[in-house]
Amino acid sequence: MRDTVLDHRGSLVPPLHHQRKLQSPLPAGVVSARSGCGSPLSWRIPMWEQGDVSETDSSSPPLPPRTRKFRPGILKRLKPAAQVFLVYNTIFPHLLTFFLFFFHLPVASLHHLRCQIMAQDLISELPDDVLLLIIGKLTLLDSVRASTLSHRWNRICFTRSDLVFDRSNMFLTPHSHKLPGSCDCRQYEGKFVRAVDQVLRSYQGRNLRSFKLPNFEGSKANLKSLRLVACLLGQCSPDQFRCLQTLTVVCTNLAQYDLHGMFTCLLTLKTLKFDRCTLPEELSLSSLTQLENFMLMSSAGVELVEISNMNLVSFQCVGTYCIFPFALRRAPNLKRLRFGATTNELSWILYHLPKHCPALQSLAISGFTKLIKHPLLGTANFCKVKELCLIHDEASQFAIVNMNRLLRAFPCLQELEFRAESPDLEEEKAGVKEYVHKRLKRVVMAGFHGTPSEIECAIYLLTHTTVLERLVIHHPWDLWHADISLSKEEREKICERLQPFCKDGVLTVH
Amino acid sequence: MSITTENNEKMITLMSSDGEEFVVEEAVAAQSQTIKHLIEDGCSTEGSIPLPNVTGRVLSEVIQYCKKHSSSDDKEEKELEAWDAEFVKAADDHVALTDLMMAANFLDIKGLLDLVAQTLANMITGKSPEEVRRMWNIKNDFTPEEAEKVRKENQWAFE
Repeated sequence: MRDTVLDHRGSLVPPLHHQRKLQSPLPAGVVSARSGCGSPLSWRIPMWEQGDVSETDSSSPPLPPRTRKFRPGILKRLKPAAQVFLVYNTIFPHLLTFFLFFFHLPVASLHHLRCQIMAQDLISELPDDVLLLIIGKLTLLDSVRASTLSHRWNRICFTRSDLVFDRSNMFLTPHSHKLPGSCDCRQYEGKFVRAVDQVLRSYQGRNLRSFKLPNFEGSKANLKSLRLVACLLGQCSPDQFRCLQTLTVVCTNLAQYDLHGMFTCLLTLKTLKFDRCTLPEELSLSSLTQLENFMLMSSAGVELVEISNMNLVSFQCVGTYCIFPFALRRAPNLKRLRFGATTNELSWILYHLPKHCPALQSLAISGFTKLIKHPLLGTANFCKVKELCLIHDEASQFAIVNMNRLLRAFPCLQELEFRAESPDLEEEKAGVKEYVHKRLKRVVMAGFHGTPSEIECAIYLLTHTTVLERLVIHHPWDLWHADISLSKEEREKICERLQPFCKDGVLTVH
Repeated sequence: MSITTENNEKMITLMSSDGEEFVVEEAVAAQSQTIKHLIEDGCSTEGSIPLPNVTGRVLSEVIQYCKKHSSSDDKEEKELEAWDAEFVKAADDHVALTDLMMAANFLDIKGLLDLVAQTLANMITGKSPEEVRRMWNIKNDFTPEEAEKVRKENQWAFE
């Protein structure tokens, strides 16, 4: 069969030795021949070059129903016969035609040849970009179904350049088109969320051009929580996110957007989180009238946050870049405040904060401030604060005088977390007024080394509180060094010193 | 080689992989971005333009499409759509359509590419994976465990 020419789509191509005779105007390497030259009945069957017909037949995938009739015997018989006749074909070009015509072979074998070609998976031989074109024309539902065909289809189906999550793209099959249009969409709600989740998890494309998560069935959109990671945001209209309550934006540059305009569309938003985002210099939250929780995590760029929200309950800035001035105008319901501060804001914290936020119950301040040493601390009115967390306060060594000032300033305190790096300093006892705290229940002291002044401070706490339930002592002062702990001897030594002053079960040393 | 007809229309010759030659108006051939660039680069001035990836049978179909689409105006859009539908119907199975798709891809004819892609996509629409596999002889190369996993990951599409 060497003489038959290569073309795997079954086109009728004359043998090579015919081609050589032709003076082709084409550059070398281009397989070409004039039509009408040679016998039209010499063709190439790819499987013949690979081996015996029966071999390929057994390994080929199951044939479609109409090819089941295929009898390899005919081709087998044809094979040696064709060999002989192809040799003579050059001398007597019409002999083969004559022979085949009279033995009624052409019709039968042509049909079977076609079946063989049909049996090949030609679609999967298409290059990726062409296959992607076909998949791009499918609905999301059909392309997800197609992704289960084979590995290659799976990979390509999940690289399509558009993801449009809507009813017609996800749930309508040709049969359901016939159903009346007033199909109740509530039945799809759970499935919709699951479907979006599953598609996004499987999606591998890097050229996403279009992503639409429109109102699922218009007014019935009940999207309540949305988390956007590294996204480009489009325009949003006021009724698009009518029910959205939680919005989390992660790793996104928001400085380029009109956030104020965006906020006016999110009237129902209750929780807003920015995580590792770049923000505009000034951020005003006042248009989010329903906002209850705001969280800013390690986000850069912002220099001023303006807060004037009646319903705001929690405002937290954590991580790096959390130190900035914020304009807190009206937040009568603010209960939980966590932020970083510098020494400049101290007088504001101590003087204005209690006035602006009369309901404040939980306060966490991190940064190198000298809050405890500040003269205004004694006069500050933090009478409702129940939880206090001081992190890395420059002057906040574990010392009796500090603890005394703190306890007096926060008379209702129930939980105290005190994280400090405490060098062993000379204790100044001046200014310690006799004061017994009647509400403090839980205390965490982190950054504890077991120095004499620290031990004294702990003893002071144990002896000057009436209802203390728990005192936890850590060595590492932050969570990033949680693997460092006190040695067993150090722990035993601390316990031995403190045990006489506390009831059973109060003390925990890590 | 370029010939000029009475209507002052420049003609060019295209040659298929199996040596068939087709003489067409330049405007018709230029619907293919590939050929258009070849003409711009001056490849058509000497001899015919060889198209080594397209057989004569497929090329004649492609030319048929290009002729129709270069002669029709925008107002005949409906008629053109009907013609398109007939055109893909004539290519009765996916073998012919795949050939056409490859040719349209090589010749870079966007309209034809979209038309054939849509036709092939329509063939899958609404069919189960098993039906599609049988129709196009796509080999399922998932192991039973993988198949189970993939099915599970895309459960919603089969409910």
